[in-house]
Amino acid sequence: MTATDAAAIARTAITPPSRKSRVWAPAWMRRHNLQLWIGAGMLGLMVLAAIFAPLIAPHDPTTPDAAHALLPVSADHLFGTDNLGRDIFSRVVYGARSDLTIAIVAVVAPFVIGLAFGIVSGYFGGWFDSIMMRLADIVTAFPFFILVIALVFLMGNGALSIFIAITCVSWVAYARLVRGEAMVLRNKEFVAACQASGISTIGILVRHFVPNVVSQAIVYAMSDIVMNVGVIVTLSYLGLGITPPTPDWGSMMAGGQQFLAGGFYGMTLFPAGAVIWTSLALSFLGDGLTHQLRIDR
Amino acid sequence: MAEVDEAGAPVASSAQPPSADAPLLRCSDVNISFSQRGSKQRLHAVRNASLEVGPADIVGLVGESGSGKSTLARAIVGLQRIDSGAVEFEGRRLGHTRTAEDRRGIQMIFQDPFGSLDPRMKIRSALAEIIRRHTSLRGKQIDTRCAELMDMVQLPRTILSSRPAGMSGGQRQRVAIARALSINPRLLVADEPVAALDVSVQAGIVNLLSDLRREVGLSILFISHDLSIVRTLCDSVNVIYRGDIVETRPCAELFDDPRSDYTRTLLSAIPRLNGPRTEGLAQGQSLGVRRR
Amino acid sequence: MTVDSTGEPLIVEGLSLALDIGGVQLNALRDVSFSLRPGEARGLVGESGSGKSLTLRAILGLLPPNARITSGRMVVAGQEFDLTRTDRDHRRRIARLRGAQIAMIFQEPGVALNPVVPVGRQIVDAVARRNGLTKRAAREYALHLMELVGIHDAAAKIDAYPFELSGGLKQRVMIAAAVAGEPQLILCDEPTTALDVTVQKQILSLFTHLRDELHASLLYVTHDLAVVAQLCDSVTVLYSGEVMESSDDLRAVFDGAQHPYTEALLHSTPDVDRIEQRLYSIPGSAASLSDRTDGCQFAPRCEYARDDCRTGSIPDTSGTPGRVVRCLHKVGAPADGVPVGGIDG
Repeated sequence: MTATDAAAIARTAITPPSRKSRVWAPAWMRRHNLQLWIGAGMLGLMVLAAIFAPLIAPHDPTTPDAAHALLPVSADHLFGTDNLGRDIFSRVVYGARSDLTIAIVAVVAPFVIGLAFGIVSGYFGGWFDSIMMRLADIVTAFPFFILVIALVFLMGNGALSIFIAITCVSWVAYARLVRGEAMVLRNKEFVAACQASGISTIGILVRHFVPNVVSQAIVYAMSDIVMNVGVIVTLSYLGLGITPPTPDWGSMMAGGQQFLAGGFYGMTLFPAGAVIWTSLALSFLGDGLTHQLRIDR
Repeated sequence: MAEVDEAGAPVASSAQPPSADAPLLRCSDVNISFSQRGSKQRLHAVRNASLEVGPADIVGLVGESGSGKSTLARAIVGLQRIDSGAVEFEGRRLGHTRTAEDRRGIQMIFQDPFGSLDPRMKIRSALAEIIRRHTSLRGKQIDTRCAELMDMVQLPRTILSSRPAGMSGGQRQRVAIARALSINPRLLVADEPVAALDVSVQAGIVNLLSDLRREVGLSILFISHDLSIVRTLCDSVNVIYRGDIVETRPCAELFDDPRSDYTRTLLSAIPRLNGPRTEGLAQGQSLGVRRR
Repeated sequence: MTVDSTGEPLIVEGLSLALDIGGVQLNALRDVSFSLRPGEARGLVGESGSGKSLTLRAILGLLPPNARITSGRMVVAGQEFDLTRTDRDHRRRIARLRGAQIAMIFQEPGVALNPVVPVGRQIVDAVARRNGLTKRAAREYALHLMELVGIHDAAAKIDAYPFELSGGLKQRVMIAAAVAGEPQLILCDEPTTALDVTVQKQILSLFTHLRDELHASLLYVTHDLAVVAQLCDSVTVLYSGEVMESSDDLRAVFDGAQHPYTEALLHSTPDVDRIEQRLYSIPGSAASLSDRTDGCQFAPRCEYARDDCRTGSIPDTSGTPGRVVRCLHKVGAPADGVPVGGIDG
């Protein structure tokens, strides 16, 4: 019996599955993996709201109605109205549409690019790996937000440039993560077994590497969506993001800021609440997934 | 390196047809070295190693850690480049780049039963992958072949639809053997296949290998540090020490009359169930605990 | 069974332990007892999942966070411990034993050595602390110890960092550090499993020396019966967290195993001096922690097992002092009727 055996025993019996969470959760919640379901539920609600926005929103989110400006919370206006008399609830619901769409879409491209480069880099090593990693170093040398803002500034406002800017910057994190996993995998005996039995390199990468590294990348993608929501909201807050009058949580908060002093909290509070809700949902989901995928191994 | 790069090209010396008693595998004067970090000198892992495995032979390759036994094994299956020398299989010289045909002839199993199977892949897919690569079997035929393989390695067929996670070390090693055997190789290179298994389980794997030789005429190069198992399983033994094969003998002879000093040292170091108790340190080697 | 606690360097009595796996409490150890006399080497033998390492860790107070001791007491050098306690005071008392009364040697030497301190200094520190030597004398003694454990160029290796040494060398450094203080009780967890047989032989000689010359007691956890036969005086055989067979006289077990599991284990151990056509292999495999049932844990794989083996807890049927055999149908017992030295006897 060797070290590997001892390690295997440790894996199966003695060590409890590590449950380091990004979000604190009580033990009973972790035990039944309620985080996963709560996260999925919370995100599900938000996604449903985004999809069925026209059905859910009681008012038009963009048409101003000066007669009903700055109304408090009521049955007709669940979250009240803003300075132009638009229904905040409707705007938050429509905001989910624009923000979540970009956040999720802007995860897919970096995910795929990072996965591909990471696997190839980790498996082959050598000069390709060196170049990839230096490139990654250059990107990470700049603060994330500064780089995204600079790129958006260059390309102009709008969803497309946000999408491109995020892709340019955030594929690096996926590539790094996946590369690390791939380097561990490369030394696994089953990879040698595949090589020895004549399975092609493409086959090894597609059938063995992708399934083994993808779960880590998915878990990371959850927190990456949170990051993207943050980026979009921040950009819009700074006036670099989604152009008004399209509803968006960031520009809503920016617009509401000047009315805070006057006691009109709703304009800022409700979109902020939506951001927190979404982030929390994704964090729970990420933790839940980490736990779930580890058990499946 | 250039010498071995002509992939599978027939070499003049091996032109004679393989006769009945010609070895299945012949390694002659194989040298393997590695570059070392922070040093210009290369590390010579295997030096002028020659060994033969005949048809339906089980040949042992015995050595301690760092002896180069696994490196040589990897070179035989084409996972490791050789500096010079030749690896011949069925009279054909094998290059580093192996054709599918070359791969079909020699398969390998590894030590770590927890690392040698893809944790994400069901057993059936793991077997099907290699069957599809090397044979013309498709669809239902693959399922039939998988079931046959399970019978061959004495595992229940239900294992096919499970993943490695819930399986014991012995079961995983049997699956690894099934995977290697799925394309009917003539030679199985087994690198410490039982070292990571419990005693009560390793016997089953050793017996299985012995059965496979008898039933399907499989040749096996059995790499191990454990001489007791080698004695049970193998017909002949190569003892490798620091990259050199120091002794190649039929099993019975080697254990009764070891010739090289190293083999003798190795044999005398094996703990025995009924042997004399270990003696303390030699004279003058007292622990000499000092206290103020 | 009550034990006179004077003199024995280690007594473990009725140790039971549960592991929390995914919220479920699973019994990993059930009623494990053994003791060590001064200068005795006891082999604690078992396959993977037998609980041998957990037992050792329970003694050392180094259990994983999901483990809970449900019963058991131990005596170390005259001090008694209620192992079910988890308060800080108790943990401190156990922690004080480690390194002082108890030396520990693990299978993975890499984990126990500080990676940023040269190995020599780690031995020197251990030596200086325990023996009260000057730095210089301690260094000299450390060199001596390193040579003794088979590090040939000790002078060159004493200033090396752990990562510069091979696994075998690291293990020897660990052993040198552990034995530096002339410990009276040494606990080893598979210390030679990762080493080559030629190195193993030297290490076993070293342990023999420690026991014979210094009357140190040794608890040697391993899966390798042959190593136990070479080194130990007594043996305790564990299977799935329970003591199957135990004896103060090792040869009594090795030459006349009474428990079917011990017999099967001995039978399946390959012997280099014995030519066999086929190795004996125990059918089936050990039940996982969650599949353990009542009765004898070995019953599902045992050829002697009958219905009564599968219920209740199996008593000790040995009838000989210093020997434990937890089996209702012992090897060599009459096929039916009361087993030799039966329950009443």
